[in-house]
Parts: sequence; structure tokens; C-alpha cells
Amino acid sequence: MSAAVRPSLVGDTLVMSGRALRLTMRDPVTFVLSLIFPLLLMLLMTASFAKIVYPTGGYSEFVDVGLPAFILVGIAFAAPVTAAATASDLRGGFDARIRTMPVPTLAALAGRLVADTARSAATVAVVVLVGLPLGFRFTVGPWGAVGFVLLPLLFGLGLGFLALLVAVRAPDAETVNATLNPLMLLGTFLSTGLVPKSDLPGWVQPVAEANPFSVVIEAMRALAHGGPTTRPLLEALAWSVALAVGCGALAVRAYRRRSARPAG
Amino acid sequence: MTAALADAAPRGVAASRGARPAVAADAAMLAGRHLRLMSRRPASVVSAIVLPLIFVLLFFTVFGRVMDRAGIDYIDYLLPAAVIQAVFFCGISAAILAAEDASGGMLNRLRTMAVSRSAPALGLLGAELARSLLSLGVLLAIGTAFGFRFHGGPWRALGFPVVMLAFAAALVSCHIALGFALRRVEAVTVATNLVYFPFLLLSNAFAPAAAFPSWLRPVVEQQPVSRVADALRALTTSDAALARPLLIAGAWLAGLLVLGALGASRALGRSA
Amino acid sequence: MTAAVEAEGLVKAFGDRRALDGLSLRAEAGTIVGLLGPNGAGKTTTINVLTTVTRPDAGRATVAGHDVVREPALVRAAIGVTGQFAALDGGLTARENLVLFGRLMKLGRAAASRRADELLERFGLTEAADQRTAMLSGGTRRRLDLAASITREPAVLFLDEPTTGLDPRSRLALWDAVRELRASGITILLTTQYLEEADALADRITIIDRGRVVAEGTAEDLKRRIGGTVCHVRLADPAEAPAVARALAPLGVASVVPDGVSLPAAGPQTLVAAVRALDDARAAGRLAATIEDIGLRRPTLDDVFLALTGHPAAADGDDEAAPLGRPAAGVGA
Ligand SMILES: Nc1ncnc2c1ncn2[C@@H]1O[C@H](COP(=O)(O)OP(=O)(O)O)[C@@H](O)[C@H]1O
Ligand SMILES: [Mg+2]
Repeated sequence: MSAAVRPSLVGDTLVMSGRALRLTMRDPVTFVLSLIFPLLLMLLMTASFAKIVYPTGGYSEFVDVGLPAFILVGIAFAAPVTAAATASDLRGGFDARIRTMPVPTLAALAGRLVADTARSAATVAVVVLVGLPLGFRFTVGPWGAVGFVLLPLLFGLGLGFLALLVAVRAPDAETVNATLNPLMLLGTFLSTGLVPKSDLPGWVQPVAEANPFSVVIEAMRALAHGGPTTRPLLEALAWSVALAVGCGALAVRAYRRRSARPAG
Repeated sequence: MTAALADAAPRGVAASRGARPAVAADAAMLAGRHLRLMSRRPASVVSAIVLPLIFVLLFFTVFGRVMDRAGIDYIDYLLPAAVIQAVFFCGISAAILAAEDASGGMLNRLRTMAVSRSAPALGLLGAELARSLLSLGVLLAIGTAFGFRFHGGPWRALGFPVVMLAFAAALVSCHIALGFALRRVEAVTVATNLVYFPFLLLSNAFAPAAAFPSWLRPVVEQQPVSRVADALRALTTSDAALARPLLIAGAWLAGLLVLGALGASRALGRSA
Repeated sequence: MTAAVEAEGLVKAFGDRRALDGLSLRAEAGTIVGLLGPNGAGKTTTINVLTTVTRPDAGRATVAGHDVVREPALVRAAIGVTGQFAALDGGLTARENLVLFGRLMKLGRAAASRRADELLERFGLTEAADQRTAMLSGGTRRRLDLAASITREPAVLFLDEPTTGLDPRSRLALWDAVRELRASGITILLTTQYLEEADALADRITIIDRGRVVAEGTAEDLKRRIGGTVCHVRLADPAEAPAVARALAPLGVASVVPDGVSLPAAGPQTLVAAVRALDDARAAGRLAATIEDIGLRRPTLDDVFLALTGHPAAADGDDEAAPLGRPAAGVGA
């Protein structure tokens, strides 16, 4: 009988994702807020800063150029939430049972990331749908639009694995938030997402240029508005995959090393 | 102090009633408890010290140049905004601590003890005021390093922390009422964010009201956070008229303080 | 008979502390083995090693015929575990938990759902089925936790202190559930701090202390070794205990316990003999102690330890678990 009970990476990841989606849906307020947050930020920042950043252009230009940044803000600040939930899983009893079951480590960890990616897709859709009447334009055609939607999801997966790594290593859920939130703030702000590179102070320019958030944002802009696409796209893909694989491997290793001793 | 407590304990409630004015002592003791809780919580330390710093640094580096081009000395403009934001963080922290006490049974326990009724709220308020001063110190230090100056002389400069404390008292007491009333930490987190983002970002705190679309401008100019920012900025300059912004901000803050006090005492009276 | 669990010379150290110090253990297929020991004895560490959660530093163990270090996946496929703390997803309902764990044990969607309903029924959880588990009472959660460990019937079931912290009624309900599982042919290894519990459930008992086995046998064997009952002398001043122990020495191994002296008893005659011996000693001027109480009582885990290890079962003091030496109401009943 038990011969059929084999760990299954794909099957178990799907089951764990189903659980994570269910938990997400069970808390609709948090879900809706996570969608509203980037919208709110986009509307408020546009209202207050558009005229200052683009004195001659204005609101629609700010939205057109800044929209990728607001998508990434939405995705980036969902990562700590997922990580905190994972940290609670690890400290509560749930993980204690999973460890005694025929479930691959990666599946145990990655379930929440799949659910998160679904949520990120909703974020992208909402921000784009609101951005379109406010001035955001796709000028490249359907394939560009598809890439524009998929790229942030892939990068979000990379950020998700980074967040998982922190969750596995941190002593509690609060430390997870306290570590990741400042990190995400730095990543999203010290980028070329909100203000053109030439308007940043000299010492920040190289930082902003190297920042993976900027890399992804520039690639998204190319996908939406045209211009040289191949190189920015490859750079963005490289960053996303490197983050996912690197942090994923480290997280799995750290998870295996953790002693499974729930509080108490 | 422990010795005094030990002496008082066996005599019971009636005796310590006789010994009276407990409000201040109780509140001070509870404020100490909250400060200790905060110092042990990484999230509190981060939101009291690290986040305000990061926001100043980020806004200054990202928007400094474009603001300069628009004719605004951004560090002078930004610092009052950062102080206001730090006070909001105090408010959010107060709401969460209040909700934890209300849902975790601490509040009920305190009510069965010989502790004066308003002490839980006052103690929390005291702790958050202390915390706001810490954030202010950190922000002034970093701001000065980036070129922030009080241009209006020592008296105006002294008014700055006073107005901040008044703002903190009003905002924190409203948040305490919110925390006691909602009790669930998740609900409190949501509610405080719904207050924080619109009030802070739809104000003249980070960008001047003139940059907003014209139909939004009246709201941006009139709302209390902008009025407090006006008062704080008037205190950093030498030439601005002082009386008008101080009076308007003062009226708002008095109103908010009354609202918070009423709300907190109602929530305290109800929660059983 | 074949062994469903077999462990030999397990060693596990945390820092310089040896949680397991050469522990060996065997459970025949289809039996219940009780692992009895005080707080900190190494019970949970043993379970963790046998359930592939912790790697032993030395020694080997097989569960359901598979090596726990080399074939963890096969072991996991064959076991169910109910840990010392409820291992459930607090955000999901009771039913959703059972379906989830059934799916992770590779039951199909329909099969997992059917099995969940069956288990809810069998463990009296139908009323709790649609409540989130975080809201359930301790006893209900424990039963659900047990149900979650058998979504796919395991060959070996591990229960770590399954009734610690439960009220007496929930405890009896859980005992019934465990007996039923044994009746269906599952091998069960359960840990407990209560002699009474091991006595009520286990076919064989292994007593461990400081990571080592101190005794092994059926409940009857062990009770025989400690005499079935003890004669206990409570003293006003424990400092007098050595003198009292000397006076009782001719009657057996009298040992000093925290509140007096304790002596294995063969029956009421031991009590009579003890009273006489104390009187004689007093008359001869060899004893001045004030005796507060003297009587026969059922052996407790403390007595077992005293009898077998020569030292009291000092709790590790690392958590709030029930004190040792609860009245052993069930023994011999
Ligand atoms: N992860 C760990 N890290 C450090 N010490 C541990 C760990 N797990 C157990 N110990 C120690 O090992 C000993 C045995 O613990 P445990 O197996 O939990 O005992 P029991 O379950 O019998 O109460 C105790 O002294 C405990 O403090
Ligand atoms: Mg244990």
C-alpha cells in the first residue's frame, strides 16, 4: 500500500499552493488591501509628485513612465507578508507534521509562492487597468504586453524566494517584517522607477542603475514603449532567475538544517 | 517600589484606595511596561528609528533634485513631514499595543486590580510620547547632517517639539481608542493603514499643495495633517507668520484630542 | 514476530548535552509500546529520530523495515505522527486539514475527501468539521491531530505525549481511540510521563532516563520489580530521613525521597513491620523523628525511578508539564 506514497514535487507543490490560496481567500481584507496598496500609492504619488518630476509633462506622463514601478511596489511589499506567514507555519505545528510526511522540502516551502504569484497577477491587472485611462500606453503590441505582464511575476517569484530565505532563518515573524520591509523600500525607491536617472544625485545613479528593481523596470518600459529590448530583457530575466535559484537553494538548505522544534 | 507594593498588597483594595492618587503612578508604571515591550520587539525598534531614517534618506535622495529645480529647499521642507510620519508610526504602534491588551486579557486583568481606570490609556500614551521624542531626536540628527536648520531662532525651535508632542498626543489618543475598540490586531493594522496613507499622502507634507490637481487642492490644504505641517514649518522659518498656523493647528489638535479621549474612555467602559 | 520499529544505540547530542545516549528500542508489529520517562528524558528526541525529523549522531534505526537515515522518504510514507504539540493548520477547518494531509499522503481528491468524512465520523468530530482548528478546544484538537496522522492508514503510528494537558474525559476518549487503532493492526509507539497511561495502553513499556533505557518489560514485569505498592513515611523534618531509612533497612531497600522515606512493600504486612521497626528504634533511643504520616500507596513514576535508577526522576524544568508522582490511580485496576 505505502509503496505508492512517493514524494512528488509538482503534485505536492500544487496541493500546498491550494492550501495557500485558500488561506489567502479566507482573509479577503488583506487580499484586497494588497491590491489597493499599489493603486493608492500610484494615485497619491501621481497627484503630489507628477508636476514636480515632469514640470512640463504632468500626470499622464508620470503614470506612463512610473507604472512599472508601482507594479513592483505592489509585488515587493506582498513578499514580507508571505514570508511572515511562512515563518508562522514554521514555528506553529503545521511544519512539524509536514516534516514527517513524504513531501519534498521545496514543495513544503514553495506552496505559498505559487499562491502569491496568482495574487501578483491580480496586482498587475489592477494597476494596468487603472493606469490605462490615466495615461499608461502599450505601444509595442500584444507580445510586448504579454512580456510586460509576465516579467514582474517572474521577478516576484525571485523576491518570494528571497523572502522565504529570510523567513526560514529569522527567529520570528516580526523579525521577518523588520528585515524585509526596509530592504524592499530601498529596492523600490533607490531605482529609476519614480524619477529619471539624471535627476538622482550623482552617487545614487550607479546604485540605481545596478539595482535589480531598475533593471526590471527598464525592461518593462521597453516592453511597453519600445526601444532596444533584448538586452534589458535578458538582464531582467537573469536577475529574476538568479534570485529564485540562489535564494531557493539557500532556503531549502536552511530549512533542512533547522531543528524542527516548535515553540513550547 | 517593590517593597512598597509588597507592603500594600495584603491590605487590599480598600486600603490602597485610601492611599490614593494612583493615576500618575499607575500610568507611569504601565508606560514603563510598554516601553520595555517596544524595546524587545524588532518591529517597534525598526519603525521608531530605522523607518523614519530610511524615509528621509529615500525621499531626499530621490526627490531632492527635482524639488530643488522647483525652487524648494527639500531637506527643510521634508523634515517636518518625516516627523509627522514618525508620529503616525507611534499611532499605529499604539493601536496595535492597545488591541493586544484588549484582546489578550491584559486590559481585563487591569480592571480587576486596584489600578485607576484611565491608567492603561494614559500609560500607553506616555510610552508613545517618549517614543516620538526618540524618533524626533534621530530625525533632527540626520536632518542636520543633510543641511536642515532652524532659521527662526531658539524660541521658534523650542516650539517645534511642543507642537510635535501635541500632535502626537492627539493622534495617539485617537489610535488608542481605535485599538481598544477594534481589539483584533489584523483589523487594527488595516484600519490604521487606511488612515495613514490618505492623510499623509494627500497632504502638503511631502509635496506642496500647489503640485496637486486643482480640484484636490482645497482638501489637501485644509486637512489636519497639512495644518500641523504648516505649523511645524512656520516654526522652522524666521519670517513666516506664526499665530495663524499655530491657532489653526491647535484647534484641530484640541478637537482630535477630545475625540480620542472620548473614544478611548467609551471603549474602556465597554470592553468587558 | 517481526519488529516494526527497531533502534540500536541511538545517540543525539545538543551541544554537550546528550539527549540520547545509546538508546535501543524495539516494537513488534501490531503492538503498542509505551516509552515512559520524565520531562527531558529524551522521548521527543527519540520520536524525532524515528520519524526522520532529526538525524542521529550515531546508532541506527529502522521503521517499517526502512532505515530512517538512508530511506527517509520510504519511512515517511509508512508512518503517522502525532507530535507533542498539535500539528495542524490553524487557518483551515478541521475537514480541510484532513483533506490537505490526505492529499499530501497521495490520496486522490475524491479518496482524500471520503477519508476525511470517515475520520470526522470515527473521531466524533463531525460538529467541528467546518470550524477553523485554531478555535477548537484542546481535547478536540488533539483528536483531530490524531486523525490527521492516519489519513492514510500508517504501518507505524507515533504518539508523543498524546494526553499531556488534557482533562480526564478527553484523556479517556483518546485512550479509546488509540486502542481502536491498535485493533486495526497499526503498530503504535507512544511516549508518556504517566505510568498509569503506559499501563492502560501499552503491551510493553520501555522506561528511559537521561537518554538511556533503564528498564523494559510488560507493565506486570515492571510493577513486580517495584513491588506493586510502596510504604511511604512522611516526616516533619526531612533531615531525619537517613535515620528513618536506617531503621527500615532490614525490611528492604529504603530510600530517601523529598518528603521522607519510601520502601517497596509486599503488602499490608510490610506496613505493620515498618511501624514496629520504627517503634523499636524509638524505644532504643536511635530515632527521634516526628512522623506525620505512614501508609501504603500505589507506586508512582517517582517510585519506579527510585527503584530502578536510585535517583529521583528530576524533571528537566524546561516546561510546565504535569508534575511527576501524580497518584497512580490506574495501576493494578
Ligand atoms: N533542539 C534542541 N536543542 C537543544 N537541546 C535540546 C533540543 N531538543 C531537545 N533538547 C534537550 O534534550 C533533552 C531531551 O529532550 P526531549 O527529547 O525533548 O525530552 P522529553 O520529550 O522526554 O521531555 C532535554 O534536555 C532537552 O533540553
Ligand atoms: Mg517531549
